[in-house]
Amino acid sequence: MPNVHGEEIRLEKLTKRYPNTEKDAVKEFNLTIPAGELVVFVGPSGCGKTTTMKMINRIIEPTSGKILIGGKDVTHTPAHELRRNIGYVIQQIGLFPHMKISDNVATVPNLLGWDKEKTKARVNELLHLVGLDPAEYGNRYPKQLSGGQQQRVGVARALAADPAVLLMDEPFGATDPITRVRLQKEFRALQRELKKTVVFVTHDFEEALLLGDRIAVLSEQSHVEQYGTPLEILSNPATDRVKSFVGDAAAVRMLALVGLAGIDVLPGTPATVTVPESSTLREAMEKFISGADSINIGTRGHLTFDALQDVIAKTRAAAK
Amino acid sequence: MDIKPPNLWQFINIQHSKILSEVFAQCELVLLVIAIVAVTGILTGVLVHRHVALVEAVTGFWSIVYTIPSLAMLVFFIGPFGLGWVPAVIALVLYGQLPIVRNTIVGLRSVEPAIMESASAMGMKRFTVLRKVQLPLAWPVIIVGMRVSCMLIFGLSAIASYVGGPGLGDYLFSGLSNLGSFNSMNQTLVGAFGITLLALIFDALFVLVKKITTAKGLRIA
Repeated sequence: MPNVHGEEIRLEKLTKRYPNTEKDAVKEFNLTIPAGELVVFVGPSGCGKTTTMKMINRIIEPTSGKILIGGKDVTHTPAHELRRNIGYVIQQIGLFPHMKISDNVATVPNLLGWDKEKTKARVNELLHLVGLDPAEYGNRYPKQLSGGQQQRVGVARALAADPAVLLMDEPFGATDPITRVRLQKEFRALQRELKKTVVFVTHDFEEALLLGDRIAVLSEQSHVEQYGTPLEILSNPATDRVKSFVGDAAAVRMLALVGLAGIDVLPGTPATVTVPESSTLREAMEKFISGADSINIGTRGHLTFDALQDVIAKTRAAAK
Repeated sequence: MDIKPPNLWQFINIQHSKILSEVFAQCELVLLVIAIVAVTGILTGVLVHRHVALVEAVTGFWSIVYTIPSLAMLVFFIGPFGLGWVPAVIALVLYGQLPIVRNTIVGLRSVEPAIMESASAMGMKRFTVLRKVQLPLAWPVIIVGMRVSCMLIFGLSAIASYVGGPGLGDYLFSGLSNLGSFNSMNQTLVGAFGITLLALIFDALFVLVKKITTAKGLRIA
């Protein structure tokens, strides 16, 4: 099945005011999410990030403002039509407990009236994609799966009709730390392949750094404190709120975001320690901390500690 | 010469065709009432469950109806409808509403918000959510309501004989009112045991129906 890549999402002056409240929960939110990118909304609880996300598929109807997907104004499209082209994954997963795993995944294809063969093939493809064997899991029920497995099914169900857009609300938040890291990494790899436009809500900054092509740091009423790549936010936090969110270890965290592939290296490979070219600055730094004087970067060249420091300084300057 | 009244077995033997026809009449009455109660009760529950004010009004109303003494209720309907099946069915239908209306509402409302949200976020319309997700998940609770209604209706169906309703209640009451006379004890026993036995059979049937009609994914512990 051909993979539909993401479409641009543009939110214009999106506002939500609940009845009988004094303040807007979300106030004139403006943001453009480029096609095929994963944008993380990160911020303290109660800042309106989930409300903002849920206005994109109008699970929460905006009070005012506009939603454009792929340039098309969908603010007043019938909600059920809009939603069939937007995948949705939430922390509580929300699988239908009375339906088999395969029927859960087939939910949207069935609503769209796909024929049985096509749906079945797609369900099998998706279960494979999220690492579950269709023969083993297809006929089980949600209660017979672990939390991590259930959320894989949740992701498969959201991707079933190959939507251009995916909304995810702390999807891995309820799983244990080991499962969470594995799901995050798998999802990152999946997204690199699928290139959907993803809006991902979390309060976990580490997760935002790991997954986001861009991060929107939000504060009360969904005010955008800063919108930029993880590197930009770490190296140049725009406001005090962003700074407090980033925390003290910004420089160290940054190291994990920069790959060794593009950096300048010294010629030759004289060192005794070698790291693969696919590693990050963090792994290089670790070797120095463990006592290496210089390290080979694959077969491309080598770095001394001084040279590494230069690279870091240049990276920080470039991000600003 | 002193004539000894027949013992219970002899009595049943002599009267078995009449008893059997009363058993059938009883079952007919209860099944008819259950069918009406199920359709109207579930429909009421479905229509009101999303609106708290309506839920309170409807359950409040049926609670009040439920507190009316059964004999009084039966007698109310003799005025407009005379004696026989009609007043019996109407009174029983009214009595049976509360458990099923209440359980339908509770069942529909207790479906997890995350599941409801997922269903609409997948692009299901309101009625599809109800049909594909909410009703199947609420079904075990609804059917328990039907079971409670059914037991209630059985108890009252005996009393419905007072207004000329069909069933084994005739035996019970004519036996009781002539206690001490020829065969009265046998009549009372046939009435009492017959109704109890039928009620137990229906109850068992409901347990079975619940098992069969509950989605497999919900039966897994």
